[in-house]
Amino acid sequence: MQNLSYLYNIPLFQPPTSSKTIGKTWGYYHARNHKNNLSATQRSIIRTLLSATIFSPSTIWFQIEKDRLSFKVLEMALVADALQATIGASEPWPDDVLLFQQYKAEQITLPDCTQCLAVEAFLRMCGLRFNVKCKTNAEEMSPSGKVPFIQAGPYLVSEFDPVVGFVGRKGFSLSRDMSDTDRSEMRAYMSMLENILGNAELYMAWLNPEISKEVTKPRYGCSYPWPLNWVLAWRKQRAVIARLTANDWSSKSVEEVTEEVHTCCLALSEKLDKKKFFFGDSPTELDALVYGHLYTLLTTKLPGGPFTSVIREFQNLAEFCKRVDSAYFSD
Amino acid sequence: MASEKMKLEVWKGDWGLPSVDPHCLAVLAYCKYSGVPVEVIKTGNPWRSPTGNFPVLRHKGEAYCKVTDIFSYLRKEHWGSDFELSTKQSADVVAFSALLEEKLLPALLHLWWMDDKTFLDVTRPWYARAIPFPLSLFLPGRTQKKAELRVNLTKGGESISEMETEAKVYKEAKECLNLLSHKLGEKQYMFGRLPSSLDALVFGYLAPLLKAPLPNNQLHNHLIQCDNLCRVVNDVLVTFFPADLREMEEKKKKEEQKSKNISTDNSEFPNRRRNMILAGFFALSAMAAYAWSSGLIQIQISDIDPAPSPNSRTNNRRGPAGVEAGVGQS
Repeated sequence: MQNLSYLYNIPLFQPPTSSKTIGKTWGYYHARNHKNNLSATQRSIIRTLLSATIFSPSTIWFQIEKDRLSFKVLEMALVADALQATIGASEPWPDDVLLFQQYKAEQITLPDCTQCLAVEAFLRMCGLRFNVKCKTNAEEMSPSGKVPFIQAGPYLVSEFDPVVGFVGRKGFSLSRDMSDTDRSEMRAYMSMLENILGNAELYMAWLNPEISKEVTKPRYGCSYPWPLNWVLAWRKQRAVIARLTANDWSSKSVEEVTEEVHTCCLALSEKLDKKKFFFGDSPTELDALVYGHLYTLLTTKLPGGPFTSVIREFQNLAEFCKRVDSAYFSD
Repeated sequence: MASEKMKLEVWKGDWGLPSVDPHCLAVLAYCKYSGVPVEVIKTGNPWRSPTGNFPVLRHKGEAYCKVTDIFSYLRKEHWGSDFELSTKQSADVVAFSALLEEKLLPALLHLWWMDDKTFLDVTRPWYARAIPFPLSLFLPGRTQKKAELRVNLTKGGESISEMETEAKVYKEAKECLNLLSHKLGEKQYMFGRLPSSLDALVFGYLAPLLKAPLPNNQLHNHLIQCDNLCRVVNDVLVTFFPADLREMEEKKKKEEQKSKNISTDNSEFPNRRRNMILAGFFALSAMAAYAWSSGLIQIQISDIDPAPSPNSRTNNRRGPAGVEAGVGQS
């Protein structure tokens, strides 16, 4: 295995040994053959990435198609803050940012839909340019295996929190002017949404026998031919059940789950009160996340309509959704 | 109010804590805050617990095992200080409790059960000692598996490696500690002067982190830097659980005495040396006796000789020389 260190003057890694890293080996090797195709910027990016010891070779790999170099970066939020600053600050927000997700009308499942909508709302609230691109295999394309993810220049960033971090490093943030106390409250409410509503959506979509059989599974497998649509949906369901068993949600009854959702909405409603947004007149990350969850739950028609009635009880939350919808999604 | 006394079963304590388990600590703290007349049973035998874990609250023939269930039951029985909170503050309690469960609990599980060094040095020995014999063989392993599943399935995923999961979990936990510290500020408790159920939860999660002697202490070090959080935990321990602190001090004293005893042993050193010399002498003489009896060395006693020659006289005078010669012959 030849290495690149002489090319870029970078410290050398252990050559990958396990079969899992073969893809990355190919990436390195390939890059070497195309060294003449790399621009100066691309080289500097590679050097930054590889020279930071925190960035283990398993977290990145890159490939070159003709003259285009693309990185696959897993979980941007995991790397050291210093490195994030150097990567993010180097370039402005690119023009061709793409937000990948599944097809909304036919394919996407309820929990994924909330996440996609939240990320979309967040990017719109920041006033950033981007295009939504629907792909049937968006889930497989994502570096973390979860939708949605954005492609900004050479970077792939998936899920809400990493996207927020990535956008923040480009100089856009919704919570910059908040006090420390407010920001910690915002983070707390965001984890409440993930913890309660996120799990409740998974529970309803995959564990409720009626909904999973009639809605979720057919939708999840809709882009595959016959035996595969059944097998993949079944595998996904098993993974979700394992996850909910691990955090004690699968043992709950529907009533208990509804009760949790009610508590969560009550807390949100109290926090929102009569304000325009959760923390005053301008939106924050929390607003994007709340909108993503509640709007999806309010507008999705599921057999039994589990949570719609619960959310409808809270007038100000429904109005909040309408407000965000008309302010940021009017086009 | 309650005709029958409530019984609360919790894991045993150590290191000056009333219990080592975060959830048990939270329930204990909640009971102390609101003065619930509860009989606390500190045990290490989860045989009778419905879930195989603690805490368990038994009252009127019912058993409650989850922290949230216990809190809501106590609230139903009108115990607790959460009634003083405004609706907004109650909303904050829900949000921050979720924050703790989402961000801090995975890190604690990882620290106690998945960090190899801590698990081998602290967690497994402790539980193996606390749990009675047949259960102690498989319960720690089962709990570890459960913790692993919980952390990996909720925080990791197929395409994320273990190292990355670990880094993510600890990063989130540190962030969570910062957020808690900001929220607490300079106040005595999270919402002013009265402790709430949130304070009980925070105490439960932070106290073991602060007090337990863990080999992997990155979270411990981070917590120490949040002065106000440490202050609250120590205050609660001093005010509400003085008995356990005293117990720890006594234990410490005992240990000190023990170490003193060892040092007095050292002061009897001359005596020991004498014994050693005696033993060595005994061993030597026994060996010599055996060697003589088996004929390895021969000692000639030449006094009987009526006309001693000059040679034999020197032999007689210098016994050891004779012995040396004997050994040399053999």
